[in-house]
Amino acid sequence: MFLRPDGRDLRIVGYYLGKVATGLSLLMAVPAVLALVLGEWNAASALLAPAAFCVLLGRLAEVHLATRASLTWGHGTVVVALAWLLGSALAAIPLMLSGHFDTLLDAWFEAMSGLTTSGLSVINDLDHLPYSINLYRHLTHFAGGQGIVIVVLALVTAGGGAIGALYVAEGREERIVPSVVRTARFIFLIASGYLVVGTLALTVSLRGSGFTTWRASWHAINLFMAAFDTGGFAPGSQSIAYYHSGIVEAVILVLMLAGTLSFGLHYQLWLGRYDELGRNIEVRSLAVTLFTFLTVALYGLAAAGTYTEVGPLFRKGFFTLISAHTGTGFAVTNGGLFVSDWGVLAPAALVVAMALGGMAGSTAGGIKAVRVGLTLKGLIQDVRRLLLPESALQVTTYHSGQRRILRGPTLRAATAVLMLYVVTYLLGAGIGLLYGEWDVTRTLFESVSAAANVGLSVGIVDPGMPTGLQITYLLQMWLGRLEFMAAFALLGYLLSIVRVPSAAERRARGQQPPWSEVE
Amino acid sequence: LLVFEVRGDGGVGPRSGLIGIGMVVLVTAGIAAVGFGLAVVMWLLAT
Repeated sequence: MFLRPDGRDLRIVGYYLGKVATGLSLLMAVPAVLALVLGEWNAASALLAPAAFCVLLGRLAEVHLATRASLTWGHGTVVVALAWLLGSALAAIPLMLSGHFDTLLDAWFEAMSGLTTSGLSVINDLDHLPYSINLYRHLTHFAGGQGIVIVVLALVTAGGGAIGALYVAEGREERIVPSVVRTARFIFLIASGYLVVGTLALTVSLRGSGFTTWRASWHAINLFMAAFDTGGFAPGSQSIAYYHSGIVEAVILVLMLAGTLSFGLHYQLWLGRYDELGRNIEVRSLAVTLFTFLTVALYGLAAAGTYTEVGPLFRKGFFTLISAHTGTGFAVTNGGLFVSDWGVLAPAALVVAMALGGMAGSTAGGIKAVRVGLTLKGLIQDVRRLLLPESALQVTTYHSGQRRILRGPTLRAATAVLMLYVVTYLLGAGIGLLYGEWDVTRTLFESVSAAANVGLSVGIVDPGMPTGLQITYLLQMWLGRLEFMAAFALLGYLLSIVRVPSAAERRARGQQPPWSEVE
Repeated sequence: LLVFEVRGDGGVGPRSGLIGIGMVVLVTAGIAAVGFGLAVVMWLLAT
């Protein structure tokens, strides 16, 4: 049942969207400072003008839409769903003004890809992008990875119980510590800890590869944000292959895996509860799928004769599979080779690994390890039920921070979202096929990469791609990041505005309460 | 990094943070070691 939103509801939604706009202005201000320092005047104006516009929007919302009404779960989901759509549109303005995108849709696609930590790119001439705009691209990963709405509300506002709705709506179901604001701040602290350690490690590795200190630092911070937030943007067009460095790849592997672990698991590790690694359902599920598809990919590559020596087989196959499964999308080989030189098994393993994704409550996308684990446990439970006597009482448990009982609603929710992902992957692949330019292997690869927020590409995504397909992938990235429910809630909200009579209309018709409910 | 502390939740500080990051490094090394073993086995199987 939906309630028809009234003016007060729309004020609340607008008020919080204004706060997101204010937060985006900060995101633009940081690289703007770099642009001013480096004398990149065009880039500085491309960043400062939209930042000022965002501040103005935020201020207008604060002045005209401020309300004492509390934020409900419905408002929360609508704010989050709209924030990712409108926020990415605002975030696209500096990209468009940079002059490296053909159309506003291209810039919006890039911003959505950045914020959802997908990493698919339609930029022109990336290797000559100003430093500040390139930093801005990677900052969208950092903000989006942590959850842009939560980042803004936890850091910009005083916070409070109301943002619990936003926290869950943004695809995070687990509170690490009792308060949502403290959880969000803790998430940011974990990210900051890895930022310091990861950037230092990458800087040292790149210095060892012959980079100057300035270039090493700049590449390191961008690579860190793209790796830890499982994004996939890279400072240059050749992605990680550009560095030709095993040490750099090793550090990035650590960061990609760190990014795909849930913040809850990081918290347990930081508390010294290392046994969680062996008991947690997500760790087990991720380990099983990772090693299964790694085996398939390596066998496929060896059998196809793509790499005739063990060294390159391991280096290329292992890195790419981890990049796919963690939802990062970094490449150490040209994407087109996945379908031309990698045989059949290896690309299939990549597609499934991308589709499954990392852990829930991490920066990774995809179905998520917990849903895979719960669905498998549910299947085993059903088989046991068939084999046991009818009177037997069967309780299935799983470990996630603590021992939990697998209940029907939890299992249904997990399988429902799993099915929605599968349907989205297939729909995207089907729409790609309609263009008649690519076979199903390519369209499925690209569709899964978009909806699971991965970023590996076999070449369909480029500046000249068809507009309809670009919009499809853009929506897939949005849906995949929100894990569907917030997007469906927004749809319901919009439908209720159109279809449900207002209170005044109901009263005019002489109808009695509940006057604003509809089946 | 120096201000990491979530009071009342088990005392997460910079030291435990670094140890936690170290654990992730160890896990990655373990996965890479198994991955390399798998690569050798698959290469032998396929060639």
